[in-house]
Amino acid sequence: MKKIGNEMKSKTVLFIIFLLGITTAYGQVQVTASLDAKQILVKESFTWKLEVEGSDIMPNVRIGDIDKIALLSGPMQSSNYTIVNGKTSSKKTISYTFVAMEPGQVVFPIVDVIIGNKRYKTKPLRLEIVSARGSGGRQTAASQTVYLRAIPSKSSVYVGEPLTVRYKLFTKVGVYNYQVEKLPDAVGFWAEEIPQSAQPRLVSEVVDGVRYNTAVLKTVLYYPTRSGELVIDPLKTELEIEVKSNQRSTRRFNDPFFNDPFFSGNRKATKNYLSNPLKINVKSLPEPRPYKFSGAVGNFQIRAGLDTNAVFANDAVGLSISLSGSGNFKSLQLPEPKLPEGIDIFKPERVDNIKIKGMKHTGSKKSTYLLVPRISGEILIDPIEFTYFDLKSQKYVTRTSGKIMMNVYDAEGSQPVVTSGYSREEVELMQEDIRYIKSADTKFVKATTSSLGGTFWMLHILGLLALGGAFAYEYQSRRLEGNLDLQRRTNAIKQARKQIKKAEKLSEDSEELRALLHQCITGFIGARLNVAENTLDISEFTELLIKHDLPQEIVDENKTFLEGLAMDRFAPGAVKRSASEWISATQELFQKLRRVL
Amino acid sequence: MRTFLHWSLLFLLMLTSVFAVDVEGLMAQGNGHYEKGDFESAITTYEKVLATDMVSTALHYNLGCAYFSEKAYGKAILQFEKARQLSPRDPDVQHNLEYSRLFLKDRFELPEPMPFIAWFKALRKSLSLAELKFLEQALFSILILGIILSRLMRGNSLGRVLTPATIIAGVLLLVVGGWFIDRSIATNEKYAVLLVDEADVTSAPIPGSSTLFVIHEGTSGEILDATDAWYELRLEDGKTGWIIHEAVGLY
Repeated sequence: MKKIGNEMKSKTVLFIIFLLGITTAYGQVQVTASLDAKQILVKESFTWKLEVEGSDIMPNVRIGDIDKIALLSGPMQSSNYTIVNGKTSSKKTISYTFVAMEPGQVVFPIVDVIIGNKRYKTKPLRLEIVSARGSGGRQTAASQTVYLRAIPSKSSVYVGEPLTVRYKLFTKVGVYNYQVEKLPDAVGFWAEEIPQSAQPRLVSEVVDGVRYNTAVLKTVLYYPTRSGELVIDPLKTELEIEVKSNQRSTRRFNDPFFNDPFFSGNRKATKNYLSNPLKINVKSLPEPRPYKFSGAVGNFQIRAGLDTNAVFANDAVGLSISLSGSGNFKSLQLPEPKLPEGIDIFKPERVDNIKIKGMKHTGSKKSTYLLVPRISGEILIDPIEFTYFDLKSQKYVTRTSGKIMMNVYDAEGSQPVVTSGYSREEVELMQEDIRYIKSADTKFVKATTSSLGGTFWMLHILGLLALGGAFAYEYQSRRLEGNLDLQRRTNAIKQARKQIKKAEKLSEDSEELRALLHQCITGFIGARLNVAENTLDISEFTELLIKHDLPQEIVDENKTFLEGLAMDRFAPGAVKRSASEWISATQELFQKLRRVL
Repeated sequence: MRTFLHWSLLFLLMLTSVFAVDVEGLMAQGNGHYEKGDFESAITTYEKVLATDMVSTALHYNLGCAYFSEKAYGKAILQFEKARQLSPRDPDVQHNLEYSRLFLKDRFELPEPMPFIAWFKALRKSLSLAELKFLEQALFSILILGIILSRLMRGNSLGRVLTPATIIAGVLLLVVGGWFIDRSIATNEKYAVLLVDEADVTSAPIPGSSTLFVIHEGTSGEILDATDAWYELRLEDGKTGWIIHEAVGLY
């Protein structure tokens, strides 16, 4: 191995770039060189790649020898055309594969690429080659297949100084899924997770001569709230990893495609991993502390001001105090204004706008107070002071806002004495006055009048009666609908009356009139007793009536009437009775029958 | 005999007309005192009108204004509340009531009510007793007519429209009727407002029972229960306790 390396040592590196064909470059041409790894082991291979975007021409790049590495294959060329939204873009790629020969640093020099009349330069690339761990190496964390490390940004911080801890996963096998249920317990710390993209990016890294894929699973910002040796407990993760079913000593291909469980026959397993606990030395802030210091650590600016400087007494005025900068925002309070006598102050409206930027909290906190001056004159409010511990200079710094002054002019009218707790609407209302009395004529009503008066009850009772009547009517009509006999019986009186009326209207004394009267009586009896009256003769009628326990006199009268009527009809002259006489007789009999049937 | 009847009738008529003039005249007299800034006399005069058992929105409102000017905020609020019960949507009454409330010592921070419930409560409050009565009677009539007509017209297109309309009227009647009965059958006076500077609210309606908290003039509460000498109140923030009759005015 070393032999080959020596052979190559003396050779110089040469990059000769030929430009072939006519340049038909269009649009923006971009040339980038890249390596597929930053850190590799000796005997491992890696690829150097030159990509040309926006040109049709394949630049010819020849790479000479470079120290500590040897060319394995190449150049490989590939072209790629894509059409997106009607725009054509082309990409040409030239790649070389090298093998690492010796440990050490390798620098790929800047490559000049000439396309058309233009010359493009790539960035220099660095590669670290490390030697592989010996077989009888020391037992380190590196011997583990998968492990999780908590990496603090500092091991010693001041109270209130942010500390970033990255939880990094090292793995030699494939990891398909991971889950972190909660942040670790950290007594004496205030913690906030820095949000990261859903999927952590895998980065190849060599630890003690062993190649690992690494990924930062979580980044947490810790703010110590007290001094001393504090401990951040291990982070617990649940990983779904690839487990080898048959032990293989070396991996032939370092390619995720072939390492896929589909090819290797490996299976997935869920395992729990703990990170290492962290011991953090938290220093207390230096003494003596300024009187007004309230625990703010970082770098801050304070501003304070009124929205207007000239107001009338009893008018509301806004006083805003804002703190901006970076530091332990979440645990600090804005200074409160000290007001002279004669100004009422209401609960402030608070607006926080704090983001995590560059591993620390930055932004602003703002309080807007509503002041209502009750006296007139020139009022001076003490400047707002804010003291914090500056981490850069390791000193306490006090920032002061400008002078706050307002001119209050006399307002008319007396105003209420105000205590705290008014809403904005109420403060607005305060600037108004009581409205004047009503002098227009108004309607007087008796105070003791009950609203549940006679008309009220009348309406409701009538309404319910109407409803009851409607339902009763509906019930009755439905009953008749289904029962023809009942209908006939109910209509019998009406029918008989109608026939009598019709008879009265007939002007002439005729046979028709007598038939009508006959029909009236027999029809009524038939309807009431539910028989077909047309099939009965007079004696049968008489029997029917007797059967129904009718008084003898009525039965007799009926018999006499019907017989007389029949004789008058069929043997004219036998009974001498006029039409009107017959009608009144019919009516009489009908009334009697009605009473008993 | 007949002449006697005539005369007595005439006398009765005269009596009522004299009575009416009396109320209007007193009212004008009170307004005159108020305009001159003599609030004390205005109060006395308005109270005389109240004693006749005749009321109007303007009477309660003007009396409230007079009490307010005399810095009797509790009594002012009581009168404004009474005026509001007669005319719930009168902007002057509403303004003066809210304005007087600014002067109260007791302030309650209440959670934001649910939007729909708040709207419902506001609707209920914005209707006067007379309006509720009218609505109730109208809805009742619509319901009865609706039921009868929808049964008569069953099967045709009008009936198909009538049935859901009747159901809606019925539901509305239940709501409005409930509100109306709640306000008219039960005692009219369901709330109490403190008229004195401050008063103890106790744990029981017994003299000497322990004081739960102290309320100040103008603070009002709903009456939950009453004995001969005590009312049980529920304040806006939900606290309850007993207070003596003399300390409060009812509305």
